[in-house]
Amino acid sequence: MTSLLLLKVDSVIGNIDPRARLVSGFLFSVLLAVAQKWEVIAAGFLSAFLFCAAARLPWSGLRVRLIGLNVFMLALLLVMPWSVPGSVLWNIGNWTYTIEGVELALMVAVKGNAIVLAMSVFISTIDTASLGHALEHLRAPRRLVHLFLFTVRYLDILHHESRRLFRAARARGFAPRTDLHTYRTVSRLIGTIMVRSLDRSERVLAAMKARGYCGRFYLLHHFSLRMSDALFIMTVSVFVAVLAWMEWG
Amino acid sequence: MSEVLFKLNELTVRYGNEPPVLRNLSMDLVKGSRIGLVGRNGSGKSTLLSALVGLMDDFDGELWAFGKWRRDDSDFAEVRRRAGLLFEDPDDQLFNITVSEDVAFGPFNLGWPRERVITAVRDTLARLDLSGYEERITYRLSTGEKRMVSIATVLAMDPEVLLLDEPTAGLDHRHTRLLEEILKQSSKTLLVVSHDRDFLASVTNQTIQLENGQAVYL
Ligand SMILES: Nc1ncnc2c1ncn2[C@@H]1O[C@H](COP(=O)(O)OP(=O)(O)OP(=O)(O)O)[C@@H](O)[C@H]1O
Ligand SMILES: [Mg+2]
Repeated sequence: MTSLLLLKVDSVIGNIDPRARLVSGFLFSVLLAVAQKWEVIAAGFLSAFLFCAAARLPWSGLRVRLIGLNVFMLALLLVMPWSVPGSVLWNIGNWTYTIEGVELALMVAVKGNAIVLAMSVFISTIDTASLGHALEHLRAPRRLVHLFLFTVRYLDILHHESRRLFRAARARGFAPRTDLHTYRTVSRLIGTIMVRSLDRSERVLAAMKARGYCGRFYLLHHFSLRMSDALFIMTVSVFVAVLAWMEWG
Repeated sequence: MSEVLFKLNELTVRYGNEPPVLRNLSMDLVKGSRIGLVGRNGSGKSTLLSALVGLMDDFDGELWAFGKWRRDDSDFAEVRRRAGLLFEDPDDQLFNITVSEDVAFGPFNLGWPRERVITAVRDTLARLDLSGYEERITYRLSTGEKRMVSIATVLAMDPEVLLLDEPTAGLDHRHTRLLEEILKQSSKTLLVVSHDRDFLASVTNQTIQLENGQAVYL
């Protein structure tokens, strides 16, 4: 479960201040989202790719994300050009498939890929606890931060609970097949997972209260900016500034 | 006459609409006493410990703790800061990602300054033979390791009363001895649930048995 959210890396990017990475990912994504010029989008894609390569992101983790995204983009390419006016490529009766439409769909696809790359390298490499703390340090609303941290924690509980239950079922000879017994067992297991996770979350709240929790979280580790962080921020700023200049300069 | 820390007066506790688990239970917990709590499986020992710190939503009867009658959730906030409850299932107790964050959680809630929290985390882990576990992921520990970390989360708060629910379950011989030593040397008020008679005999000097929802002094 966590591996879908989190990319494990052991390169310099892992040691950069999470706040710097968070802001970088945000700036990059916003810039790419609003960019209209092809050269800016292409350059943005290329630089996001370069950052991924420099951070030595695991290709396997990236692949899963990119495949998911591009299946969607392919669908977009099939559908979107029918609704954009312009020079006709094909037509079925009144419906026209336009070159402008294709261009727009491709632009969205490249933007999307670039943003996913940027998010992967800057944000997915931050572990969830640090991400929550970084958000809190950047003055994100506290409720939102807690919601986020708990969501991640409970996704994990859900995941572990389900692994435990399925293991218990397998230990007593359960092997999934396509028959009624399988469907019945699986649906019962899923029901149990839901109920148990809810129960568990209530007990965890009780455990938090038992230790004096009154709605505030405290951070054990503080962040502090170092030389490498400053270098990182400068590098990203140069990229962002050049891209912004190409777009609006 | 020593100070009474907890006083239960005709306490009745139930889950939902089930028949009550604890029925008109009365007992005192005097400062400095060391009580072992025994009883059959399902007799309500864990329920009693939760009720003492106000974690059973709904109870009938009266509950006195640390100088006041307590009823609402807000009444119990102070009780929870002064009495440390070790849950029976460590998976319920541990919810932070890393061990050090989990152990620091309680002390921070007590409002201690950061330096004191950091010292408390380090010292508690060291006392429990857990040095080096600081950055381990809590939910990936072994059962016994989780138990030891859970104990650390309670001891780190330095509570006046320890409410321990089967603290030795899943511990190896060496860690059981270590915990025994720590509890024997401590002068805190103790209420310990355990099925391990030797352990109880060595850390407590009185026994209460739960039977049909009532407390029987043995
Ligand atoms: N969340 C719950 N909802 C409903 N009933 C519960 C719940 N928790 C416990 N019970 C019931 O309350 C009774 C007492 O449970 P409790 O956990 O207090 O027993 P215990 O004395 O601690 O047992 P053990 O020695 O097995 O730990 C049991 O019959 C149990 O089925
Ligand atoms: Mg119990």
